[in-house]
Amino acid sequence: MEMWQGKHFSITDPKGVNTVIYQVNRTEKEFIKESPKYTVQRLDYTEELRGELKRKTFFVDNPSPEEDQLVILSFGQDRVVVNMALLEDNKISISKKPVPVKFNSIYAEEETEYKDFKYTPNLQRPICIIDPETTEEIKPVLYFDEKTNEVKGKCKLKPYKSYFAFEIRDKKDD
Amino acid sequence: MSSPGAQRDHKKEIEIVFSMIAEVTNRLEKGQKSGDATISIASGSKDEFNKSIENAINGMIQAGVENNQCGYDKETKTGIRVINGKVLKVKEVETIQKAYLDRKKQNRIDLEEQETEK
Repeated sequence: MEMWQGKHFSITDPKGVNTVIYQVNRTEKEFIKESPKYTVQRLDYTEELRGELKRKTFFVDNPSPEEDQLVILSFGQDRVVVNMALLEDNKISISKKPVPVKFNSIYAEEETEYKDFKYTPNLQRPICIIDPETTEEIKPVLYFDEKTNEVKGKCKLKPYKSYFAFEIRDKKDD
Repeated sequence: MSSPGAQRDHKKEIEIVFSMIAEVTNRLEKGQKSGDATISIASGSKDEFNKSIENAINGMIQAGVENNQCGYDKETKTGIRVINGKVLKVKEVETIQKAYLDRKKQNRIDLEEQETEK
């Protein structure tokens, strides 16, 4: 078995709150011309119930040598609280570095597809859509766009249901 | 015959709240235009929900981050994490597999190989 060093940290979710955390990754230089500049990856976690509280331990399995930007999303009743954090060495601090992130609340009265987005060659993406009730990601359907020669994704969204989406924007996307 | 209208649901959209403990960033980096930077707004009243989130996040910051070992076996497609000497099998192998593949490409599998337990 091949080994390397990862990191972990813990948070305690109060009753009625469910926190998920994403790591923001920068696309490798060799792929950057045709791919999104930043992508997001959900951190794996374990959970331990402590009365009405949930102690969650999040794992950063691929920490960068310098620092990692994290997006902390805490879902509750009809609300999500967003925190941007920086993981550097062995501490976490609230990030002062602006990251071009766009947040969106989605709701429609008919079934919709959201929205065409590109993948990097190692299948990472810049957009994430979450069901706020379960905090599960809506898995995109991948397809190959023959016109542009790219792997793209789309998420099918149900009608009369709220979703939360966030996207790491790139200047060149505007 | 007209079809019944959709039920009015006042809670259609999820409210997005930027943390009270995040800093306001209204200074843009070179080349950015307004809307590019994440802006954390400290507004609204501190209700129970936000307060409890703030406490949870503060707790995380105070407790800090610890190191652990990660391992992946490409033959069996299984992963482990070693925390304080305790070996924990990884259920969501996809995440650790991805980390392994990315680090392999970057030549960052940097710990001694471990014998896989039978």
